[in-house]
Amino acid sequence: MGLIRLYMTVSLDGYVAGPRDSVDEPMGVGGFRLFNWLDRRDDPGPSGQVFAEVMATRAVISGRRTYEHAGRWQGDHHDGVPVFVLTHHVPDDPPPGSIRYVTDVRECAAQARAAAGDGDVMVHGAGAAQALLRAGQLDELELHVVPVLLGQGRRLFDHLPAGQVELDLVRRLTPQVEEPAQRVTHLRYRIRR
Amino acid sequence: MSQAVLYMSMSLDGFIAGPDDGPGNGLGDGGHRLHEWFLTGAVTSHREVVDRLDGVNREVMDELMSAGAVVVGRRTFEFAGGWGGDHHDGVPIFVLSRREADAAMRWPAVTYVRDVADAVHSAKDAAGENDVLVRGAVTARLALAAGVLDELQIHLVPVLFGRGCRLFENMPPDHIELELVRALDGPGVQHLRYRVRTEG
Repeated sequence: MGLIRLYMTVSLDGYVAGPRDSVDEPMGVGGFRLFNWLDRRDDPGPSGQVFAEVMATRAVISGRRTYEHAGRWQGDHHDGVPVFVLTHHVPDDPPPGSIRYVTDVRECAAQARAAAGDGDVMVHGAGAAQALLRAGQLDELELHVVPVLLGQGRRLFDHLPAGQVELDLVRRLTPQVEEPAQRVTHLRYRIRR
Repeated sequence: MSQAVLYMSMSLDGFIAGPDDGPGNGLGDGGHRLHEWFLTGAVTSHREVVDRLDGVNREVMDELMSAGAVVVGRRTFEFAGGWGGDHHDGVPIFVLSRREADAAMRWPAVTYVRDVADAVHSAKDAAGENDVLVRGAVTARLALAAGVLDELQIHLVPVLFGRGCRLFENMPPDHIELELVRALDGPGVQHLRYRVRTEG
């Protein structure tokens, strides 16, 4: 049985996008700074390894905002794997490509797990992550912590109830690259139940 | 060369205290979870805390305790009862405050300062070759904004709090570039040390 794992690039101060993110400016003001580490995604080393793991997932869960801001991935996130978009309101037009819309978070998690088979499910977007966390359906967190403070923007961890959730560090990968801006810390945690 | 270093235990979701922090509940509800990596049982002094640790966690706490001066916000200072006037080894303590000090919170090693840059500069002078320990979230944010914080030593604790008091809040929308200078895995905590980049 595969795992549902959040993959998210986040600044040290906890932001996944800069201020005023929109369809026209999907990462918000200055938010593309977070993705500098992806310049190394095809290199050998930790960042290449992590990116390859992302691309090996067999299903995707995304929030609606992330999905729209990403131009609906033209219907294909990677390799045509099923993409489950968690949304309050299903759009009128039929979903493109391998996209499916789901309104219930538990239903979404169950469908994604079934679709992934023995593979893992990748979660993308702060909204989907929060919904899965609240529903107790997230198994792991893989955060790519970028050495920058954005100051303002959209937070990854927000709108969560009070109450401590214990984690266990599964691994920490830190690439030894020359460029400090690309020296992210990949932290993977298992969520205790 | 003396560095001003923030040492702060933080949950993975960015909290440094639980909800409803206040006098007598300085870490908020459940906030003591963040200090479990170094606090084992009842202790009476910072030195005693360190003496009970070993390995990576000991190494990091030894660095903290080698600071030659402390800069702290008034709120953190008062919640801690002013550490009885002695944070460790009697080093000078500079308390950032806009108000006059209470008579009960005056000690020989304690100086009240209004401006964060003045506080850090005075502390560096007092610390000589040693580092300056910066304590408190508000003080850290003021020091960052004033460009006088040199490093952040984040003790990242594997827990989500959901609610509470965040380290990074009410900041201006300006990017501050950091450089990861060290990452250490201790039992129950990751120690991430960042240098604030001032060039380019």
